[in-house]
Amino acid sequence: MVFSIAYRFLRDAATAEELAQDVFLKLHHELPRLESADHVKFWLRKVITHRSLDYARSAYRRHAVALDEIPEPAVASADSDPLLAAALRKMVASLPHEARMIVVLRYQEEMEPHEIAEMLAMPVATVKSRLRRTLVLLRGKAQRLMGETVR
Amino acid sequence: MNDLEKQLRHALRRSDPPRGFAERVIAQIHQDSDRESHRNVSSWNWGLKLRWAAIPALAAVLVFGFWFRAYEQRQQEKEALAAKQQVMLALRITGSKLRMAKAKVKAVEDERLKTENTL
Repeated sequence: MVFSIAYRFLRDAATAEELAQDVFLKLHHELPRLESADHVKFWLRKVITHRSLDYARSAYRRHAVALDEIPEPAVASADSDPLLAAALRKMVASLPHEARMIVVLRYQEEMEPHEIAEMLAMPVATVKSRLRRTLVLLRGKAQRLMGETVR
Repeated sequence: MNDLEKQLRHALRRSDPPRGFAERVIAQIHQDSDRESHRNVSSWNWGLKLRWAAIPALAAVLVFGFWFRAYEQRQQEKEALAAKQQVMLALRITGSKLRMAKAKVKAVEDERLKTENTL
């Protein structure tokens, strides 16, 4: 979960591992203060989410790339599932930081909008609207890429 | 749930960390604990050293404090004596001036009486 959130968000295994290790090290210190398994899970998700966002923001400052400048992947057909998945991952990677994290938490971690809102300290309505806008954007890109097969 | 959401779930399914990740985390935790305990021991050593160093420093401060107080007292006594001597000198000077003035007044008076008697 911890590695995966960072990896899906940053798409860089080495950085994701580094961040995940830091988070587990921090967990080792924080463990006496955490009350239950659910609390640990919530804490891990929250810390890795914010660490990943912070890292992405600082990396973004180093070499900023505009969203539209990222080329759409030059693939493929809808029935080639791994290719579609890879294309979708690339599209998700091209999203702005917060929208990307919302998508990762929603579709990887299966978190509900109110849980995401709590984690990212933003209103539920904002999470829902960003999610909706992001899906529209992704659907548009996917349809251009794959034809009409993605609904 | 629509097709895109299903595809997103599939594309963003959890990925396993690289091999050896858990071992590396555990090793790092051990390393961190070692560092921490070393830091605690060395800070305890420093605490002890500081405590021992504080004893002579405190003694020196106390001795200096007493010496300074005695020095200040001596200075005050000296100043008081000098002030007393100055007052005495001033009184003596004033006394001699008064005597001279009185003698002059008496001489003038005698002169006046002598002149009145001859007339």
